[in-house]
Amino acid sequence: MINKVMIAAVLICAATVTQAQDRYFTKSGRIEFFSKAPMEDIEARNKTVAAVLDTKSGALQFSVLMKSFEFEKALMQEHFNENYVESNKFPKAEFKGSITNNGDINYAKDGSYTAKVKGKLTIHGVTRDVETTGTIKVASGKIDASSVFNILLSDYNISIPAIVKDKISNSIKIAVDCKLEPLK
Amino acid sequence: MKRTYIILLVVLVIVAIGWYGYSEYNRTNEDLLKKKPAYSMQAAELIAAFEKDTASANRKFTDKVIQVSGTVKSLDTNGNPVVIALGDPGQMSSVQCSMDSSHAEGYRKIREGDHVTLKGMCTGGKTEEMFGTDVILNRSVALTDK
Repeated sequence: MINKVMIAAVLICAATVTQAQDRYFTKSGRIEFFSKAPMEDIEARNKTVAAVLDTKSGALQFSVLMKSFEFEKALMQEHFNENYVESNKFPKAEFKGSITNNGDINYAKDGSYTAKVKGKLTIHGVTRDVETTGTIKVASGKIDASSVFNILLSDYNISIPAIVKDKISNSIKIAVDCKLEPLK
Repeated sequence: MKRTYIILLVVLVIVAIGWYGYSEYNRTNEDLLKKKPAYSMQAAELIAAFEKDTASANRKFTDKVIQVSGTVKSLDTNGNPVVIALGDPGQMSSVQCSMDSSHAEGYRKIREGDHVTLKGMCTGGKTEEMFGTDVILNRSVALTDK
């Protein structure tokens, strides 16, 4: 009886360890956005992205607080939070999806792999399906996941005030770069 | 003579408005080194407040300058800004401090395991099953002499 309990305990521990080893995460991932517009270029950065990747299933999740985006100009940062993304009302943006070609990526072998990513992106309280490509770099047991893609502000009900409508671009380029470490 | 005064006054008002607009447009975020914190507490206390009631803690701490002390559980020096995480190394939850690079001399000697005091602008916190509870401080400066 005791042996059976011990075997069960060992199996449970082994399963837990295996599951943890499949997961890689960071809480200091980088996200930047950039918009080129006639009036002025808009750019901001945020290095407190929480991200987790399950290498076994390819499941991928990102989460970021909107107020953590830093702009060079304080006024622009205030306008971004108050007038555009309404950070008090919608404090968080997140992505939940997966790498659809996860089988093509060998996480045990150092190298650079193209990842096809599909999932749901939520910004400003609006969730939309997104599909993009990214790069997975495996080196010395760590994973660097990065991607650059564009979104339209209008897709997320982010309205541009009429007075600057022709001067601010509706298209925003987003760059994400997360250096993931094994979840212990 | 009266007309000259009026013209002079109008010019002064236009210059003042222009100067205000220009300086407001170019205003940068406030340097927090000398700024008095609204709250001073341990990292564990701040995390516990968000764990207990995220919405209420967000109302209380977001957009406030917070001084927080704790153990450095991780340090991300990849690129700018450096991010110092305070909290229990055995737990997922943490206070993530995105550091102000204009005060790099204050934190460049900080290492994992050090007990430090940092001060930054709280941009909120979130609790998620996958990541635990995270509280974010932006433009943080180190107060510990390291």
